[in-house]
Amino acid sequence: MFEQLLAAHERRILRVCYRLLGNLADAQDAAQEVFLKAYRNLGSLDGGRDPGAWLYRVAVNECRDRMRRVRPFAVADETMAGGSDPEADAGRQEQRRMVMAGLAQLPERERMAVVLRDLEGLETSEVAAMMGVTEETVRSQCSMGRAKLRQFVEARLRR
Amino acid sequence: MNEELDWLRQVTEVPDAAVAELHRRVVMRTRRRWWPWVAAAAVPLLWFVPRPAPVQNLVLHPAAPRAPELPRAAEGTRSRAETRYRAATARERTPEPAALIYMETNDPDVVLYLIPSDGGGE
Repeated sequence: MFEQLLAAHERRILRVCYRLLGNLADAQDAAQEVFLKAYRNLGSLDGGRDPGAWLYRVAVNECRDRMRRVRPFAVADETMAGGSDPEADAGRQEQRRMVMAGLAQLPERERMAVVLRDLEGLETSEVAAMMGVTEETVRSQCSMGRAKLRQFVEARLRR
Repeated sequence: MNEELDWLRQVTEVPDAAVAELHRRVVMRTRRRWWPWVAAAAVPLLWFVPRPAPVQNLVLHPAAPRAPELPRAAEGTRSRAETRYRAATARERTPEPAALIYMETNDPDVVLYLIPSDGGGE
């Protein structure tokens, strides 16, 4: 049961942690903590709740806690090779570093709004519920964050 | 707009190796450990293993005094001191009672005597 839950949701949970925390090491720690919480609460997860939504909420809360308690969004110089073309890999690394640096310069709330609504594709109402703000606030933070991110990336690309 | 978001999603995707590493770590942390169960089973088993008699029930004879070191002579010969020592100890040697160990058990009707193999007739 737990193995199936882990296999079904691990990529999505790790991805949202990575986008919210900015580096893979912190993202893996946070995602691991999320799944250990799920393991400890496996009994209550059986009761008709959507485990995916529950995991997602726990992951977002864990990342917010970590950003306040451990360290804020921190971009690490990680190498993520894996493709067969080293040149394309290097290009992707550079783009990823640039986007992560762009996300790092956003205020926390704007970054969360951009990540959860634009990158993760959640509904505005879901993001508003998770962040404890109104939908209007989410829309405005999202639009400001996206504009700043675009500006940052375009400036980097022009160099 | 959609292309821009697709590109952002693509470049912030996590690699397969990182997902596999997370999977391995979580499985390791949630694997059921066997040793607490073995320890829990071993405690009652050890409780019923027969124990030896308490130490205070054992009556042990003190160890025999050790012979003094003899002065060494050249190989194949016997020093004067050794000759004198051997003559003296041969005269003084008297039969000693055999050392034995007497041991009480938890049953008041049963006592154990451990008699060394050199006899003594006890």
